Amino acid sequence: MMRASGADMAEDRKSAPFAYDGLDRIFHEKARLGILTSLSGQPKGIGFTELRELCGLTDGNLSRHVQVLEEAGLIAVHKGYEGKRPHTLCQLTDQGRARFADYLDVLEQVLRNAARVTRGDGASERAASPKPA
Amino acid sequence: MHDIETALSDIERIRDQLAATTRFRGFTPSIAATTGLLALALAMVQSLQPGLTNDIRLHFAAWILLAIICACLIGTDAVVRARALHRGMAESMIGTTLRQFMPAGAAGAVCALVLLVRAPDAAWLLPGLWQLLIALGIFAALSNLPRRMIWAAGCYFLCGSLTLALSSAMTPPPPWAMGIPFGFGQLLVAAILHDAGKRCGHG
Repeated sequence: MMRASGADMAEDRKSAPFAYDGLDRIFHEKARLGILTSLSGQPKGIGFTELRELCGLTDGNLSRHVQVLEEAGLIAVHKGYEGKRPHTLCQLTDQGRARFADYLDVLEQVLRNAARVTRGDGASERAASPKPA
Repeated sequence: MHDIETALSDIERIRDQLAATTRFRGFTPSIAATTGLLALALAMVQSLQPGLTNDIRLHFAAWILLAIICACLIGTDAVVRARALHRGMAESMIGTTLRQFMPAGAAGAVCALVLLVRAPDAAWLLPGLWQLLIALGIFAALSNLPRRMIWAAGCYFLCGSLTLALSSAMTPPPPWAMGIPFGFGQLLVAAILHDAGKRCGHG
């Protein structure tokens, strides 16, 4: 998936302030958001079983989402053994950290805009003074 | 409105969590190397001009001034670079890194103030103490620094211990008791940052 550069995103914000191109679809899915949030505080990664419990997913569901995230280069999956039992470790990659941080910036912007609209401010104000990403 | 505020605070929490476990990339090898070379240069000037170091307060004033210059250089560069590289996480990461280094920096400043003002005869302890405190600062920040930075922390710790043991009661302490550990220590830090930058594909 192609990602827009910072300059492109700033230009898009001016022309289409509510386009939110930075809301990457890979992140913008409930289960994947849960997986990435769980991994974000664990630099050494989390085992598959623990991740499944943290996110409340079934084995099949978690495998599918982990595969999507791994193919996008956002997480690394290490398969090994813990004693005699197979053990799968999932870990956020450097690229995954950077892109997840960018995604959080856009998500925060969406919420701040919503808060402004709720308070009765116009969209023009948002377009005029976007929070730097 | 309450839901939005809750969601915003959740995002803040996740970002802090991400920042706390992400490697801080604000430090540059060239600045670290520059501070090392400055330390070697000052030690050379002091050893060539012994008259400058006869007064122990003057001797350490030069090192304190150099430490302030180096801290400003490293700090300014780190803030600018972190804001460019870490974007939304930058403030959180700068805050975390400062919290990790500040106790050691503050302890170093208090030691200098107390020893130079109240007990100048014991000021020979300062070089070793400062090296040990730098080591503790790096150890405290290891989770956000390249893994090999443990070697730099170990090196400062060893140098601090040796300096304390070897320069006991030498007043003023030899300039190289500061110059060699800080000069080569910072060059080692620069080499580790350079290596880590190459591994990550960043400069």
